[in-house]
Amino acid sequence: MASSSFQRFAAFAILGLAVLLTLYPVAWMLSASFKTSQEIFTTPLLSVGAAGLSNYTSAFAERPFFLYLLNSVLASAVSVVLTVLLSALGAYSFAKFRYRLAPVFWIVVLISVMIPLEAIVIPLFLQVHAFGWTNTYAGLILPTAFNVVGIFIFRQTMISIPDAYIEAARIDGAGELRILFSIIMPMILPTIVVVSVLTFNLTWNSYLWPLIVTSDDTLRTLPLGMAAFQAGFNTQYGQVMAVSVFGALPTAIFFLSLQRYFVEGAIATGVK
Amino acid sequence: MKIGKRGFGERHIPIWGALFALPALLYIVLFQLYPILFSFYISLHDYDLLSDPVYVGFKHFAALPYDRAFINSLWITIAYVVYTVVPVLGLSFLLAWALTQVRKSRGLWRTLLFIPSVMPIVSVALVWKLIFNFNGPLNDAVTLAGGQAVPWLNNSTYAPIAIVIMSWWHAVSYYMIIFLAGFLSIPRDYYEAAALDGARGFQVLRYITLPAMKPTIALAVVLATVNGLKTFAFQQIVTDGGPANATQIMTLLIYKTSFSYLDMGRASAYSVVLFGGILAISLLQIWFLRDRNG
Repeated sequence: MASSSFQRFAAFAILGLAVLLTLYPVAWMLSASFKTSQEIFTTPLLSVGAAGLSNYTSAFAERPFFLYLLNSVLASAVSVVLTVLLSALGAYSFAKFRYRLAPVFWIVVLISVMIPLEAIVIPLFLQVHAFGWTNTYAGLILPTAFNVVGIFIFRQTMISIPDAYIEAARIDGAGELRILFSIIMPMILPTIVVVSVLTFNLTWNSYLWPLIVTSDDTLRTLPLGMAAFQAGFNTQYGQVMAVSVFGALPTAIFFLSLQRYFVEGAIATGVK
Repeated sequence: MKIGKRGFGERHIPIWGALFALPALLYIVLFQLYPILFSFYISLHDYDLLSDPVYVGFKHFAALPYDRAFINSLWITIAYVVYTVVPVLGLSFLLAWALTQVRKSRGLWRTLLFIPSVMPIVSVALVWKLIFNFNGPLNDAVTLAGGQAVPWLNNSTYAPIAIVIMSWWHAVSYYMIIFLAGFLSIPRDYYEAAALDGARGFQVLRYITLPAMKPTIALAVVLATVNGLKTFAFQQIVTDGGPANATQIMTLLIYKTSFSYLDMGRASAYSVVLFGGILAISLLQIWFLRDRNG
């Protein structure tokens, strides 16, 4: 895109300001997590706090944050596996098969995208209650584990795979499941990563459903544990920030190592 | 013969195709379609979880116009969506444009700016809650600039503003990425042709960039509106709907009405309204997509 030097300068000014505003709260969180309650609101951002790691150790002594972390990892892992599996099967069906019910099935999938969890929490809770799943991992994880967007993303990629590959495999006598899992899936590894990262992040952040379905502290996921800790210890700001940092660390590591896929996932959700 | 149109071999069995879609469909029916229908059913009943549901017809819907908590929440929700969607999309469009202007280390700028989108939403809420604390850094800046410290979270005028500001911080980078993808998909020839015709600066923006970005902008508006309507964690964690219900967004009203007051029928009627709003906007999205693919 052609651009004048004025445009270039304006762009740098805008980006610089935006980066400052973006990083300030993050820096503040990090810095406050090492400060004592007295220091937090009185010392400048870049000063080193006297609390050391004490905010972290005392917060962890107060609540089982590593258990919350494990619960979050479990919920996210199950969601990823379930979403990749169901989406890949569904997408293969929609991308490569023609059958009479396909348009009906596709409409069902389209409708499901338009049903937000926020509008069905009450019936979903009653249903989970009827299954006897309240305060269980099944109730916590399964009702929101499948991210339908995966079907759209996989389908988009699978459509671009030439049918010749599939036909050749069929002539060689490969079963349909084998074609999907040992021929198609290895060809679309980047898409699998995009769907996995997207689903992982979604479940990792999920707050409303775990809040409703669990009351047992040992079943809490990290976001719930963090929020509950804050509600109970309002004035221990250093500890609250330590907990926030702890909650953000896994995502930060994950993001830095798989950044490309995060970005692609964000775009794919938007564009579908 | 409907099948085999694109040269599938005769050993191809379409029944497999239908079978492969079934697990996903079963899941959708069980955890999405059935619940939404069940939601309509409950909205026609009085139900408190303890005794059996009693059919009351459209009582809960008829009561909505006179329900002060509902009307209050409806306005708060609409205001929240308007005050987040418009500035967020404007800022993210501007940032995406700025990113297209830099040649070197665009990746680094993008990474830094993308941080709020990947930060856990509860961490975001907790940090901003402290930034908006009466003794917090924002008020330090306000007093430094010669202003009076503002009781951000304890005042029903300022609390919604505080929630809106943290929502901007959280959301801008996500739409920035979407706009950036849109910018980068505009063919270079368009710009070269415009340059040949002598178009400059704002003319390029007005006649090339904006028209080419129209589908992306429309999509971003829909996405941001739906996401705004679904917001819950910020209001629940930072202010719990207060002070004086000033940040009681619809999702939070539904949550409290059902799980605190156990008024499942009324809360389901609220849910149906929320669903109607989101459905209307999602249908717009499908319309946009069809427009673009067709």
